Amino acid sequence: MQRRAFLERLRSHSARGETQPEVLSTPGLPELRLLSSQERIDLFLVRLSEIGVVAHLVASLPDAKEAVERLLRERAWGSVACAPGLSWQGIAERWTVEAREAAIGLSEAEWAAAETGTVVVKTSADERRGYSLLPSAIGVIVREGRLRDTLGDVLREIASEEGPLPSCLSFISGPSNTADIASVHVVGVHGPREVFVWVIADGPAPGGVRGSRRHDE
Amino acid sequence: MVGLSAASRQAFDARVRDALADEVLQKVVAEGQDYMQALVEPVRAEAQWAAAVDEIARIRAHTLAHLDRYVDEFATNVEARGGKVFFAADAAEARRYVVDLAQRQRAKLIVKSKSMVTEEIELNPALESIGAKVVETDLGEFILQLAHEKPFHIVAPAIHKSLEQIRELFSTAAGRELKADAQALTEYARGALREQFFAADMGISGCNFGVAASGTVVLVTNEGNGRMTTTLPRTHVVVMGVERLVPTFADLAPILKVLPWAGAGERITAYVTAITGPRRDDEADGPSELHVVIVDNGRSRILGGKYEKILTCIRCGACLDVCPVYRKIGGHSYDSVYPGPIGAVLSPLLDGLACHAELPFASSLCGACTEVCSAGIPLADYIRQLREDSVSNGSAPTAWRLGFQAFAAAAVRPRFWAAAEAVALPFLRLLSERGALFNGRGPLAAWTRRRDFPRAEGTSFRAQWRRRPKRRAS
Repeated sequence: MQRRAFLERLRSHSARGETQPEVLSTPGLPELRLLSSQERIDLFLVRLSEIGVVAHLVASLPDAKEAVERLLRERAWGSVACAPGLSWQGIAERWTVEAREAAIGLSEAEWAAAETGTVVVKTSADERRGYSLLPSAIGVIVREGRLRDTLGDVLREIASEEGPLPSCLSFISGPSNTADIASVHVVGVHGPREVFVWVIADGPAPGGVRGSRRHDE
Repeated sequence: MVGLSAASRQAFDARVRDALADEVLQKVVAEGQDYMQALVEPVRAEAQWAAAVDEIARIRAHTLAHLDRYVDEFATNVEARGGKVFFAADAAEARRYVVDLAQRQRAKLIVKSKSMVTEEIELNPALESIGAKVVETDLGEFILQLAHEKPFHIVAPAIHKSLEQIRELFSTAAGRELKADAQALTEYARGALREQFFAADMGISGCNFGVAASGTVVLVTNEGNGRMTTTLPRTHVVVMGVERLVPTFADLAPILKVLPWAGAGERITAYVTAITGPRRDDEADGPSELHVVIVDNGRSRILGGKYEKILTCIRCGACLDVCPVYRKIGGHSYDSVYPGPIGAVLSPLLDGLACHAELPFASSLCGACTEVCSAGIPLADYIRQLREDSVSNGSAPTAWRLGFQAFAAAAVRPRFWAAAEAVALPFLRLLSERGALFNGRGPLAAWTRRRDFPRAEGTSFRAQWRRRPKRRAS
């Protein structure tokens, strides 16, 4: 059907009166408000562990990399899929393979939400969709400055972004799971079976708008 | 003549009888409902929940009031990001577009993530008719595809299948005996479907919500098949109902708070995937083409009418999880893509009351669905109004209509009523055994076949009224 005719059909039926103003106002929902950065990190770690994520707080990016190296040694994992960006320098050079063959995929979160234990990974030229999807295990680093109280906070920030959104934003909360077989909860269907998160306690990031993410050490 | 034919009535009764006689179904559906209630009930009691539901209702009502504008904005933004948009007036147009596209791209293998609207437009048979192989990848849908069945529930499509039934289906597909263990069976499906994801030419998904301001398609999933379907094949086709929109990302906040709890009993689903256009030129994975098919198929007719709020549904499935009728007759008795209370309202509105004349009557009007609705839809009221509609347009069962005409005639003639009472009460007492009437005959049969008709006790209301102590008005 032609677009104009399609839209006209909707317009002719819709019963918008004075009760429905042109613009939707946004009265804030009663939402969780955390007082300190420490509280936020604490809740994030609790919620992550509740949904089956292995989560650690580390002091810096080098510490996070050290934790990744240790995990790889412990599990005898010899292959990694990750963006060749600054964050993974030192790790990426040695083991990077295609995401589908990797033992673990590594990503960095653009945002995270404490209340739900959610990390948000943004697709870009460097950050492929497959890194956080295809390997059996994935690891995500979250900088403290990117952590918000609630998913609602993250969504409102995304809404206020200027310019086009990335082709894909993946909100990830724990491992892939299902209860489709006889209502039994099973972890690991099509996506990762294991999720690791390292929270880097490096203080709140300046600003919080796009492009402000620090890659400096 | 719009009317419920005897044949359709009998077919409905037969489906209900089968469901009631199916011991596995009776057990598994009840367990599924109880499982969900235990998870959701404590959260639903919180004040925040009610506030979020009100907010969802407000956002969705606003979106519907300006739906033409938001659809226009959404489509413009999808196109600006490199996606293609097709406007389908009905199921046939939507099917034709997707089938033509598959043909043009010589798509041999198509993977699908769970989508109710593709069930509604009967997309799979159309794609199979041109020789494409269509693979459902949601675990529940995969089970149903092997069983050649339709979804039993809008969120948990294979909720009625027992572990043993699934083991048998998977063992047949695998060509070897699999263990009756949910973990092992899931592992088998993971392996079998992963190959399909990598080999597929096209991925088809639904759309939980479209964000008008950014042209984003949002998928809410747990298994990861939604992400696989929208990442690996070179073409991604989204099929969405025209009412699936919200104005901005911020408006998703209350929805993403309520939907995972109501639908799956969890704070958030494992994945929420927000897709804005196909892969960019500098990106290494993701589909290079994105097609969004926006389907009307009867929805604009509902818009602006007395049932408009049904379009605010967020498809959480909560109404199915509390419905006492669904619990007994199951999803397939409804013989409609959308079962349960939502289906009892939506299907007659989309397809016409004549196609689903029995659905508004497949309800006890207890109101549990209205109470739990995540979008505040007055489902029970709608079901009652649809009954009125079906009586006034003549699609109610003939016996039912005659019965009520007789009742109305008697109720306004006190003498006649008294005479009828004098005959009927002793007669009913005579028929009743063990305190109630079971399996009655004649006009009582339809009621007493499945319900106990209580024995008439004591004296009638009218007799008691006559004997009441008289009081003078002061």
